[in-house]
Amino acid sequence: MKRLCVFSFKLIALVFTAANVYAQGCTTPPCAPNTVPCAHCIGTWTDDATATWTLTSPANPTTWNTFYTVTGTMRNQTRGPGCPVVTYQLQASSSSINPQEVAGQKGWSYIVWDARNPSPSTSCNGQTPLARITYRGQVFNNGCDFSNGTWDNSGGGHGTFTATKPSEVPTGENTRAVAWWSLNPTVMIYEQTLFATNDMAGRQVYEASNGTPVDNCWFTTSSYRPAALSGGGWYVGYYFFDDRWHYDYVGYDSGAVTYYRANHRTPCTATIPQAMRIYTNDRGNGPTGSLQYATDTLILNIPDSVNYGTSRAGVQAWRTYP
Amino acid sequence: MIATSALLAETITIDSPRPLADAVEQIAKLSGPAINYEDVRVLNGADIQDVTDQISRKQVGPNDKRSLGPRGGKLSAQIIVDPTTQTLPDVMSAQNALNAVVNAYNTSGLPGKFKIALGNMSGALYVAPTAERNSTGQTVSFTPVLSSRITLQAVKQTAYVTLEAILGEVSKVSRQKVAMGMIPFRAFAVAEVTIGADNEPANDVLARLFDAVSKAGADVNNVIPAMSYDMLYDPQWGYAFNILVIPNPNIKQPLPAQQTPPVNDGRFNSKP
Repeated sequence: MKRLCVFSFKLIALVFTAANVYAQGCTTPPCAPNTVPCAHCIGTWTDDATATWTLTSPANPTTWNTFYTVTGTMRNQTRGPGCPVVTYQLQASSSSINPQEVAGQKGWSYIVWDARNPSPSTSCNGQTPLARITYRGQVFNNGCDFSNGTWDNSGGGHGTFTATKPSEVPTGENTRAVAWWSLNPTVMIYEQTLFATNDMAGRQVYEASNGTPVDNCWFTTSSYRPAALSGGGWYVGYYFFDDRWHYDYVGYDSGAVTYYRANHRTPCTATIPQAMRIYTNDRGNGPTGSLQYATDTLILNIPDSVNYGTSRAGVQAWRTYP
Repeated sequence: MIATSALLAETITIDSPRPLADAVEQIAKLSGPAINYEDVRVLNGADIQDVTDQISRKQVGPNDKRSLGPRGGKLSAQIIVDPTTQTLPDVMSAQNALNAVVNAYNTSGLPGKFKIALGNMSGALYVAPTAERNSTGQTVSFTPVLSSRITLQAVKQTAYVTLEAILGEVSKVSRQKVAMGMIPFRAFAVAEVTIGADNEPANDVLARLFDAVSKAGADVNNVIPAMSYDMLYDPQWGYAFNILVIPNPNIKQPLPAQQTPPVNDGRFNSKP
């Protein structure tokens, strides 16, 4: 009986070794859940009734779970041909975006777009602009280009809406070498900052092939496989709710460095073309589109028996190893 | 090289230092399931080649260490692929293809013998040696290194540290040096796992680790994340444990732009 108890305990211990993992991104994107909410709703949104909402909110908010004021205009021409475009002003005191983050859940941003004071307010085709229409809903992350929710107006009407805007795409990214990885001293950790006018927090980027890698340290009888992209997706703004994404790990295993040197392969390099893409069009169930925003090259460099280097997008890191 | 006939039988022909590893790699590219591969040791002088002069980038002196590698040879086998997709779409077709190349290898006179196994938990396939050719030229039975039974304390830590611990245990139990090879560092750096083992085959522990790391943060409703290993032997250095991320066959394709008519629900205007 005692042995049985011991066995049972071990069995339970094994059962409970099931993984419970959550990570900043993943290896096979798209990754989920992206907990980082969209930082802003800046841009021109077109709703399902063809009205356009040209909105501004703080471009670089510093934190989530905070209300940020939204201003701008809404224009519609929904009374038929010949009637003028009606322009509403967003009420700053009641229009807001509130990015929400809850651990383990997909991030979202509450929005209230409260449009008032139509101009002109006169009738046309027997229809008169209502004094107020308010949208309440959410902007979904990853793409930050789709929102939905409910509307109500000063006439007592209510319903649901969807709105989209052109997805913002960074013009590139800056790379910074942060540190050699403590667990493998020939792997450099790189941090990236997206080039964008408005905060890109809430978006998701991923790496993709941009050509065939060339590893001329590798040789035909090598027991190490040639260097290659491993694939990965990252959440923008995960640590600091800004334009940064963390981290790209670039390098040979330290044992491989020793191996290639001992096999008289130096000087040698591996060159790995990398494309960076950003996801778009997430309607709540994960992104369904993406756009390339940057290309670069990863280089692993073993020039001799002492020095070792890596490079990402031209940002070099050198050390002596061992 | 792959040649295709009208019967959708493809012939895999390889002449390389590790023909079976290369054949398995080709089959893996055609198939969905993860295929794990463990090399056979090469111990007999006839199975080892001195590649120093071929691979050296500098003058190698008489006192410098020579570079040795497996000699390998030629392997040819016919496999059957799906007539429509030219792939091996399921475990059975992949297993049949592996059987073909392993049978061809085992009758080729190349060192060692291999077997194929289907993982208990993972659904992954394993190609591992069951016999090796020893230094005197005899073929003797061999227990796959990654069948070694290992014990690990279940501790929450990065997957990288767990992998190091597993390979360390395997090296200790099997008395074969197993070093970290090319692996997706970032995946193993950021994933935290709690994986233990109680006298369990290393392959099963690795399957759990791979499952945890590949699914960490993945959108499992829309992707089928998977990893496999490729453990290659060097006569001077022992084994290098390489990890491959399986290309994902199930990533959502971008939706075509939808042209939906605008709604006319009177939300902006009062009606007469």
